[in-house]
Amino acid sequence: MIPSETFHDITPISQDDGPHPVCSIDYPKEFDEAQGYLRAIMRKDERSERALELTALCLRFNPANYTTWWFRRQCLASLSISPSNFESKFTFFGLKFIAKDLMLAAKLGGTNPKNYQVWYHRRNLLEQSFSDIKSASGTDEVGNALELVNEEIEYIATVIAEDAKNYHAWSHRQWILKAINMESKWNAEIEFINGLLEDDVRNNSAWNQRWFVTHRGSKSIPFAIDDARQELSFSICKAEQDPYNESPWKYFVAVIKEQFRLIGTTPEFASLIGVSEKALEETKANFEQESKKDGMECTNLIAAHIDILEIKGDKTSIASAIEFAKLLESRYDPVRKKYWKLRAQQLEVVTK
Amino acid sequence: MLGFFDSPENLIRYSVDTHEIIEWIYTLQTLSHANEPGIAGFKGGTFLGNVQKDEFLYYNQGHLAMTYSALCTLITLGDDLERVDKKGIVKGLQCLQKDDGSFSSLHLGSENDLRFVYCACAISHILNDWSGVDIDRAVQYIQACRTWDGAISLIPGQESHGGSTFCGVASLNLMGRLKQVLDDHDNWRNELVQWCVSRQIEGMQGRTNKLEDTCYSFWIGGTLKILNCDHLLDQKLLRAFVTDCQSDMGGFSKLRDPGRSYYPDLLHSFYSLSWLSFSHTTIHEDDVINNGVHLGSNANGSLTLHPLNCTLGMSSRRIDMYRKGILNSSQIT
Repeated sequence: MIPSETFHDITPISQDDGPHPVCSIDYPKEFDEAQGYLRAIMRKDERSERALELTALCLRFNPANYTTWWFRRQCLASLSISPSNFESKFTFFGLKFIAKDLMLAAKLGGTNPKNYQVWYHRRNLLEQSFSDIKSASGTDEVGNALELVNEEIEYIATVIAEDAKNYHAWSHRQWILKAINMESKWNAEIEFINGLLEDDVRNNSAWNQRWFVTHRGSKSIPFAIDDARQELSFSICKAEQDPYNESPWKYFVAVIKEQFRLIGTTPEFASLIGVSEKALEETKANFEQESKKDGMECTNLIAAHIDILEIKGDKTSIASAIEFAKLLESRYDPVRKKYWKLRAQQLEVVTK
Repeated sequence: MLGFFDSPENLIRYSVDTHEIIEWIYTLQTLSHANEPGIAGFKGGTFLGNVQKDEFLYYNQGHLAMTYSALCTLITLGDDLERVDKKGIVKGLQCLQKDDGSFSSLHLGSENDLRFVYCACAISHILNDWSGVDIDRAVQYIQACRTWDGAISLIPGQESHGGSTFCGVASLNLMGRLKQVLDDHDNWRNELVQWCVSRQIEGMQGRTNKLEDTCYSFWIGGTLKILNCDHLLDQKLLRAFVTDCQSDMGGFSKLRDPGRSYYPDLLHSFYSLSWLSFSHTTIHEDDVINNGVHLGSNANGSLTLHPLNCTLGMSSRRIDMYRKGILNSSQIT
């Protein structure tokens, strides 16, 4: 793989695992050779085109070697021509290098979709450009950056299409949305999430993304009450599709809890939680009518009801909550019977 | 856990020399350097080749997860950590902590998240020196990782996950802030416990609506153990799942049907045994596929596992021995 002329002037450095190696790795000969040259090149700190090619070769063999990735970025930065007066906490990479390396990362990422180093490399390539959008420094930069943003969002979507719960893909996507903080992108993301929930209403990653997007990626921007109502409608609607599904019920309760912490003592909240409880009970009733099954089997629905009753906090509600918990314990949720027993006991303490 | 090192016959039969392993680990140590405070620690492997003692290579740096692994392994093998650059490692932690309280793993630069907060906390605990960690900021980061469904994500905003939940809870425990954070924080403890027990199908899933996987018996079982709530799981069902994931070629795989659909691997073997060790110290003969390897079996054919300290993810006995050793040596001086 390495034409011998390319590194004719370099003496490769062997790995030398010492006299008593532990867990020796049986490297393919080509890899060992390539690494030998890389060790020498890195010792020299030669950040050239041939060094760049060499890192690509080594990364094909082991895309998890973070030191090789680091050195590759050193080469890219040295070969890039940063604009005059360039000042940034991020490294500058030339546009053609960004494009080329995004392709390399995509190629390596294809068979390694959960490799931390590959995703980190993408982020490193992009963070300077994305900060251009925020600072809106010059139209050319922003134009290029926006194109990169769109392409990157598209790319992540292809990874999610392969594995709709790829944690790295979602982390990277969240980073972009927050970094650029564009209303149009936040809104488009809701559509994207809705599409995923159509495919699989049980996709908890998509539910999590919905919470993230509707909060604009921040914990300090809770829902206004109208938005809360909308989210409650949305989650109930999805819960109806499959009342056994945990995700929409947890989301439902989370919306209520957030409002409780904000406006829990107000009549608006009393109305909100009243309406929510009714909707939950209706879902249970509809389920029983359509399926001819016992709605208590939908343990996630019942768990949500218990949470709501606990928040309501009045004597009757707590009594109902205890009853439900005891039913889950004794009959309907045997895997968690010890938990429900404890929960009933905790609720009984509340009553006193 | 398996008591392998207790029996000299094992070391002979398998040609294991604990001193050689210890020496090899020490060759991976990177010492602190005057110009670069952040680099002390341990590397993961020898891919940089032999670096001479007086040779300074900027990129010859320790990695936080490897440092954590190295310290645990050295202690497990009975080393007293005398040759460890403790001050250097702790100084390095300072350099790796970000403004938001998280840690990255490498002075060269890496992603930063709760995994490395955990590594930093475990290292600080083992070295008994917290000057490298801004605890208040680390706690803030963990709080920022609290999710809408009551558990802990790897980075703020992300999905609740068994691995990160363990990292968060174990870190709080190590920092001595568990009670303060969970009990001052409006019902978070109860939400956490509920989330954890909700992850049980038969085995444990790592996230809502995802598949079971033996390693989550540790991540989530361990979290519940730290919270003194692991008895709330259906232990019998979980044990049946975990032991079912044993392969007849040895080890555990992440799911049932090992050898056909899934192969056993070290990670899942370690975490399966880990959970078994702190949830059950005795495994019965019918649970364990025994290939005739002498592992200190009891007379009735059962196998005793030495418990794991689940917060640190390492042998309870060994960490205790190490601590006693420190006390003994300080008494001598």
